[in-house]
Amino acid sequence: MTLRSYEYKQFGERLYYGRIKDRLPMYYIQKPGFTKSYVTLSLPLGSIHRGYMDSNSIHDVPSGIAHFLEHKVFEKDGMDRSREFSVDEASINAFTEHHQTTYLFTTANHVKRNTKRLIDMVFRPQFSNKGIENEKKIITEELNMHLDDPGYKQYVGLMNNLYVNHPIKDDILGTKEDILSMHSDDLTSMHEAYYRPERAALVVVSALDPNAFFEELSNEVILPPLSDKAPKDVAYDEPINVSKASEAVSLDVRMPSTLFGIKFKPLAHTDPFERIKTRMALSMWLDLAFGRSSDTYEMLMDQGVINDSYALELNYTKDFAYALIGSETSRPTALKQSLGALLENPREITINEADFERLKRQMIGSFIHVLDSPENIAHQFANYVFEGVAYYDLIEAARAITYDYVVDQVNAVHPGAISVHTILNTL
Amino acid sequence: MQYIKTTVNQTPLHIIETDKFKNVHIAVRFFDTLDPLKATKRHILASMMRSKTQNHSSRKALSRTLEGLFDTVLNATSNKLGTVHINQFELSFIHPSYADDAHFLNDVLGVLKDVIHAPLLDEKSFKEEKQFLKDFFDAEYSNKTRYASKRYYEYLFEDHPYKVHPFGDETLIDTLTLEDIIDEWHHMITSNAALISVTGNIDSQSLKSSLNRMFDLSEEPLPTRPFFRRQMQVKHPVRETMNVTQARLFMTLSSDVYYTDDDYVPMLVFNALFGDNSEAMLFQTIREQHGLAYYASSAYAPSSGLVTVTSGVDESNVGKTKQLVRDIVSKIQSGDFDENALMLVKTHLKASLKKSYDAPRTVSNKALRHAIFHVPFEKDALMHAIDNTTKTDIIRVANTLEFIFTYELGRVENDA
Repeated sequence: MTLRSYEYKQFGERLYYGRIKDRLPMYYIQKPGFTKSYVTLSLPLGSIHRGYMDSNSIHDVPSGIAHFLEHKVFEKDGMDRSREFSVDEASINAFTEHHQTTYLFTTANHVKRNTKRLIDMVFRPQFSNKGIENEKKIITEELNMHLDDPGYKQYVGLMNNLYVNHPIKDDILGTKEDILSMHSDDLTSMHEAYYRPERAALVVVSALDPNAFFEELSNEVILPPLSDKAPKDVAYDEPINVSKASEAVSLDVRMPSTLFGIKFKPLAHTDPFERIKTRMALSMWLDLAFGRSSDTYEMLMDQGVINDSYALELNYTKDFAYALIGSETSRPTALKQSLGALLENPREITINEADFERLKRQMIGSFIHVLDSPENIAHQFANYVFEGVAYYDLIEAARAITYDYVVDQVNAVHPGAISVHTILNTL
Repeated sequence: MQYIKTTVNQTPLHIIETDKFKNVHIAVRFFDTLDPLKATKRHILASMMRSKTQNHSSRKALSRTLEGLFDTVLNATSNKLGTVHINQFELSFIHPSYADDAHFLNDVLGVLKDVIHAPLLDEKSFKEEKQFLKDFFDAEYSNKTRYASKRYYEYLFEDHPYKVHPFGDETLIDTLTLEDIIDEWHHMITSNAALISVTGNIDSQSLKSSLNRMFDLSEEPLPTRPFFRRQMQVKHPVRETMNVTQARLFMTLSSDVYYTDDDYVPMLVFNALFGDNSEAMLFQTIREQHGLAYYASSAYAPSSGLVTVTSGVDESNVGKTKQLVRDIVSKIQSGDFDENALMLVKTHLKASLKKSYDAPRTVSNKALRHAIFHVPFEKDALMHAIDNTTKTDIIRVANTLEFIFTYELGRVENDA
């Protein structure tokens, strides 16, 4: 197979696509002039994936297994493979999200050799019981570190209240009990079920010639044999309403905070391009209604109920979708009332057409900002690939969005799908 | 990448011309002495300047203008670098060729001009920014890793001029008036040394013409090599307790080696071997070998000459971790590390250096260091110095190090 090339003339960008050994999809973004190469390999296993299937049955696994696996994939024959990358001038890392796991390295040299090593490491790890036991201690300390962070606890607490059945309600790291119960059999089975080349995405951002790169990888990479294990379906019967609409906890803080969560119904079975359009339109509606240039922001600022930390975020995938709006505040109850009243009656928020046109320009600018960062391009690309679209298609999606379509997004907000979490100070 | 040094009405303008970026980055930096009252005033001033201008009378109005300018990003921050306090205004915007708007560049530069020369310094935003600064200091208490770091630096620098936070002193916030801030703005614009750095694919002559029309700043010379050359004395260890899940450990080594000193590069290599990456001895020993922590690292601060070790461990493992840190330093001091390890960290340092020219903001910071410390902008000299650092050099600098302070934020009184 040869590489297919797609040119995005307007931005001077070129994308290449091919499947290594007709199995592993590779997306190659050529960046002339850059010294740094950045490579990611993403797998569709995140904290929401809590089981696998084999020919006999469905098997459930402990919470936090995707994250635990991410740590252990670095091991081979009892050794940490990070050193091999360092010898070849690369820095390797990895992270686990709700919906996927990503391994990455950055380097100024030996891109092909390091990419082959990354593919080998991810698809052919070797776990040892000694290594697993040591990792339990390390991950427990990682969790302990987060447990002293009220922002982290607030996010986990809010997600737990926002969702009823969906495993997104659980901490990505899992519970301490589940971390300590990890076993090599579960890790191996989950690896076999989810770490399949056909379901992965290799994203390369580099100045090198993509054709030579692809040819060498295709000739030299050894991919794992097919497996009889498969991912467990992630579909959960998640109601529209939240598990708990409001919770306040007292913690050892001096600065209280209030965080709202809005749960949306994910568009799992829609055409990917349409889903991205909806995601972008919803993002625009949220920005226009609650962003830093909105009347809401100005009102909350004038009321003195928010500060510099005010933030708005949308997470929207085919398996889950939610928005977060919140701020540290010395007046958490007042913020809860003000923002809560608006969220209960979102149709009263006015969105005008001039603001919409301005947001479209902002979206184009934001897209171009990403193009100067190999890290950002690769991560955005990996995220959208699993949603079924290429990052460069976002501009086309943005252009297809109309003012009316954005205004209609108010229908996605259901009063029963909102939860608010408040951290009060004990002082 | 071409480095052009010129001036805007006598203020130094450093342009790094390169066609690899699709965005343009401009930084305007103002330099003053590092002093608690000044830092407090200057941080509030920078925040107010970032919020409103006389042509954008509300935060909303300025945000809307920036969004309409294709998501132009405006930041205002306060930093410290050795003995100087820096107020920094940054603008990041798409290359004008993508904007399809003949006035785009002028409009973007006009915003920066408004921010610098025509800020709206009114009572409303003064009150808001004072509150935000108080909130910032209060919020430092929330995250216990951040709080432990704050306490560590407070104790470490309690009798050192470097203790000044770049955002100032929370106890001074309420002593300030709006007039103080307005006076500080006048002083900053007319008397502070300033540096303008531009990175991107931009015609330097036409940019200079535009900036000449828009900016009229001080002609004060830039500060040079602003270090605190002050050997730190051994301090009593401090242990504090609160309701935490994990104990935080900070250990300080004093080096008396500063940026541009002959031993600066050997210290960088020492730190890479010791703890600034995942292949370093701290990470490999404390996390990988003993499973005591999720993180264990060291940072070398060349403007204060100090190396700080940080880790988060279970309360019961604090004593063991401290001993391991000391053992690692002893090993390096006695040369108990192999050449391969040294080669590896030198490779890591050189790779990081090569990659650092691929981000506009990092390039802008290199221009700052070049202007202040007179170190080469290009990487070659530093690459060469890293290559030439020997095991003997590492042993020599390691033997100048002395443990001077330990801070622990623990859960309960321990017997470690």
